[in-house]
Amino acid sequence: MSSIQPYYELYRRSTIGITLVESLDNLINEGKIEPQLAILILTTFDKSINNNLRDMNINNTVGKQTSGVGGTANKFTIKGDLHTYRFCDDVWTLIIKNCILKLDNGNVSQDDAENAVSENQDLELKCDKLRIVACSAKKQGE
Amino acid sequence: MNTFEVQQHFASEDIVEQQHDGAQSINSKIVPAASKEVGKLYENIISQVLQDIKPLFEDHGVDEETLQELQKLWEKKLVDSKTVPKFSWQDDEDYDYEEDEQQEQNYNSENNDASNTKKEENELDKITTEDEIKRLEKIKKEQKNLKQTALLDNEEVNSDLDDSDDDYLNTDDDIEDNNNEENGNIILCQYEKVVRVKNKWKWVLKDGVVSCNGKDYCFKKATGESDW
Repeated sequence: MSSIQPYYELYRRSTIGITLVESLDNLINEGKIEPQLAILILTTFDKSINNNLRDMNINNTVGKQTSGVGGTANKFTIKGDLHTYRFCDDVWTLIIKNCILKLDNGNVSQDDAENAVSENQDLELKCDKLRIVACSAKKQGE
Repeated sequence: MNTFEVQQHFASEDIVEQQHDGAQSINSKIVPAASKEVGKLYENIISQVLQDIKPLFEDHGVDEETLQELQKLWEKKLVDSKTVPKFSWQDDEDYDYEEDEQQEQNYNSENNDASNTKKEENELDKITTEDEIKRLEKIKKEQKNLKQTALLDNEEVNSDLDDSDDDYLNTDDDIEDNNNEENGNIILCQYEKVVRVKNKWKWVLKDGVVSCNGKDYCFKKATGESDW
């Protein structure tokens, strides 16, 4: 393992990352694996999630009914009051209050596309507080 | 358990209706496409990671049983987190938002006089979904608070670049967040551009994983706007 870390570790805090960490913890506590192995596994996970996110071909306009709407990739829009911002070590941390997340066509699934014509096809999520942690998109892979 | 759910349901009914006034409601019958995407993403990651770490297990002299155990644990924990509707390894009948239906049944049995008009059913969906989300959030928070692990603690927010300044990052906000919202609503992503003009901020984000109201989503691109 080289000393450089080409892949961001921030996704370890996602649900899939947390659950992996917990699973590894269980195995370590039971003496079934060494902590060193767990760290290697997490590094593998970093690589995998970074690559998968980069390569994923998200297309939420899956249904026939919606194939004409708007076009192509899913797009999230985030709106709200910026409560706190912080920039350190090339990492932005933003805390947004009264946040509205909108995902165009995010509500339409393949099975429901026929029935969903009258529904609002955009997925809208509301929350009082949202935290965004963002690493630089440019640094990765250097 | 049932009584608790029902109580919670009645307590939050009014608020929920207000909140949804004019806003798009989440229909429990529809599994949002965005949730399906994140399920797919997670599945890809799991299978890829498991494949990639196989040689590591061999190198460390750990048998394959343990690898399978890891897979089981990981998948179970993910399913239990209920942040994703359904994985392909689960049976159709087995899951698929079953808890919503259960709650609906509870509601119906408690309220035999409930009308069956379509409009009311829709309202019911809103309410039960909202309740479910709240309940899940609460459970999730409790679980996560209990299960703060050593591995996670070491990998705090910004550790991917340089650990040396971590203390500096632990401001009041962080502490507050760790207590209340550590596992609340969060987006983990990468930024392409952050622009500020006076108090107006705009940012362009990519490759994000979103946890919001107890459900997960992912995005390729996102834009944000807000005033400070």
